[in-house]
Amino acid sequence: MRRNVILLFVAAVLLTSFWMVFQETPQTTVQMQEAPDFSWQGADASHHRLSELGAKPVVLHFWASWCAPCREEFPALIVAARRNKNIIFLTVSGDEDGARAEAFIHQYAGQELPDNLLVAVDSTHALAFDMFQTVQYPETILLDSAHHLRRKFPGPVDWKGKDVQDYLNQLR
Amino acid sequence: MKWLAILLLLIPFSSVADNHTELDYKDFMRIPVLHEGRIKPMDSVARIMFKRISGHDALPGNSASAWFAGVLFDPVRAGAQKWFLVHSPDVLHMLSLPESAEGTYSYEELEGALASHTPLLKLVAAKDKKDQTAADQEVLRLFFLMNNFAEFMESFSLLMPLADIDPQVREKLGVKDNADVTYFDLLKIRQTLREELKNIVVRKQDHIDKYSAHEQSIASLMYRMDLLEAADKENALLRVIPSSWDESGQWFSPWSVIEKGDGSPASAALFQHWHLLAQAYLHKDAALWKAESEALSATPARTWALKLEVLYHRLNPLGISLALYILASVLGFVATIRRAPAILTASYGALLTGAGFHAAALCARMAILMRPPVGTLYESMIFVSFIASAFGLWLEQNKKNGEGLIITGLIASLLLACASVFAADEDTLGVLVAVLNTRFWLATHVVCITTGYGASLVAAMLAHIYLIKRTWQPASMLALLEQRIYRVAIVALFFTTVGTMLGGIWADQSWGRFWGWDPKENGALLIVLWLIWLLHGRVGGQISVLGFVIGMASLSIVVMLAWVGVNLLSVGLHSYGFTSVAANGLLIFCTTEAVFIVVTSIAIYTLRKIKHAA
Repeated sequence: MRRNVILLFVAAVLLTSFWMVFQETPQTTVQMQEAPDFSWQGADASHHRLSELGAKPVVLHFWASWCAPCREEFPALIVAARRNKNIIFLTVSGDEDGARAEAFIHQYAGQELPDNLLVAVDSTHALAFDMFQTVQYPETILLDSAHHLRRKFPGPVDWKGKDVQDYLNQLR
Repeated sequence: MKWLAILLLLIPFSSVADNHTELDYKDFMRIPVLHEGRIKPMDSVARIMFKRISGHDALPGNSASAWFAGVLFDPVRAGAQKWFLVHSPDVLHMLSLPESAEGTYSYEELEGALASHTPLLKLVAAKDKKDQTAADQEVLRLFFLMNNFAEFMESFSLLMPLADIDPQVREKLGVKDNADVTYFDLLKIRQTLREELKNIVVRKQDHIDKYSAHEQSIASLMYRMDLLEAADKENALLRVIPSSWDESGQWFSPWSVIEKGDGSPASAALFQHWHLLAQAYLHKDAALWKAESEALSATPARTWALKLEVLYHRLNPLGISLALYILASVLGFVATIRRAPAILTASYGALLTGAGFHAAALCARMAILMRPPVGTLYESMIFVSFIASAFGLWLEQNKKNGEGLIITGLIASLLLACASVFAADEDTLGVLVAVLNTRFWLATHVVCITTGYGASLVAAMLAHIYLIKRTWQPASMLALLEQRIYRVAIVALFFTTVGTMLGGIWADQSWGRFWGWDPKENGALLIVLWLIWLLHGRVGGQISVLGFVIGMASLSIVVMLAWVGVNLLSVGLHSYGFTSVAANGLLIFCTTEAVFIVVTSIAIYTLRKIKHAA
């Protein structure tokens, strides 16, 4: 009996040791998260939800008219929206005044916005700050067609660059 | 001075009371933190920091976690309390600090002293390491420790309430009059505040006396925000927020999330929990504290391992084993002298229970670290200690005379006690250097070679018993003991030889050569050659029984030199194990062993001569 107990102790240690050989390293890698089904108010005061967009990838772009890098980036964003018709470009304005946001958009987009480019007015920062923790503008988050959070670009994005276009192609 | 700046910002919100014992730290202890390369529970970070700072494991009557919560959420109070142990009179002299009865100083005191000796610090830091005195090294250690402490104190400064918030600002934020407003809350309206300040400056320039109360409040708020940001934006030590975007599995501190733009809905939720936890601590809201610490401890990443680690530290199974091993050897000694079977059984029970706790501790460590049990000198000490106790139990099983109990109780307890010397920077569950982090080789080569060390030490200790007994007993009465030394030596030879060969194969894979005459390799070979020489000499009859036993007793010196000694040479590829801590201990051990062997050998030969003459 005593001999068995000794063997049990030694076996427990040695077996656990060899079991460790076949275990995977503990991973702390990113677990894919689903975006919350948030709602927003459009520039025309209409209300929408993310789920209403259907199974389409979404480019969630946070910006403000007072932000210099946003102003620089926006024309290329509109071109990207025109080029990727199957992706929704939801641009969330952090301007407290919705009219300023709309004026800004039209200034850059000409008279007509691409159908897949939507403007959300987030004057209370409930979307940008409270939900997505966007502290500095501009910021872009890519959602796949199941609306999982796939990638984030803090700061301006090179919309003409291959990296972004390749990623947008993957999202389709 | 950075500390004063933060103090000014946070002082109005120092905690309202001294006593935080009513807060339940059970869940707080288990909150995961990425610290020094590994996800560990908050409790482990707290223990490591407290040990480094104060030299103690925990406060009397309170846990390290409770202390650490104070550091994180009540930094003003923590900065004024005397935790830092400075025992070197040279350091006190260098920093012009007055001697204190307890030898402890507060962060505030030390920060002031270090700040006024900046040129001296620069001079010490610029010195080559080998030219630094013990006092120089202690001052530098203190400096880095204080930097870490300061970072921890300011980890949540962005979530701590700020004083004197203008009612209009509160209105903009949509918060009530009595609600706390933090730097993080203000980020939401920073652009508006900035524009407002710009307009004020355009209208009134920097004539602050002409500013209205509201305008002064806006200017002050923006100044405080800038001050806080400048002081803490690099704060990255307390990594409690797993990145939602970084595919390498990075974790960030709250300040880093903001600085790196790593925010996400998940991090926003965690920020909210931390904010409420800080509030609960400051307002002593036990229910909120419990709810928030529970929510934070439920965040992903091997929750069971975090619980196990907290339990491991609380139970301290190796401490229990140490006590039981000491008890076993004392009882074994008493039982042998008084020939009392009941005491012998109690001794056996103590050793067996000690080995049980020891095995549980090793399994727990493996489960926590997810790797085989031997990777550092500390770990090899506790593993060899376990192997020795298992051998002792096996020996005692075969011959119930207390010998196995005494020697293994002694070896196991000595090794466990010595292991604490090798505890790397107070964290015994540390991450391995990359070259060692190969589970297969850790489980084969290292386990094999350390089992060989364990068997060798048991054989050596049996040889000690032989030498002692031989001074008054004839060789014929000790034939069985000599036989057991021989058998254990064969086991030791088997494991050390296989282990050394496996080490060569690992070296071939890692460094591209099987053998490189590295000190560690030479040490392993020395043990193998020593055992082969003695065993062959014994079998071939070239070495007498007494010569064989003396050689086996000397094996303890050979093992300790190969195991610990080569690490003191500071040369070779096995640089992961270098330490200067054990030099004196090793010297004392080797000298004592050598003196013991020489004295007993002389005594045996002298007594033999006297007997023959008579």
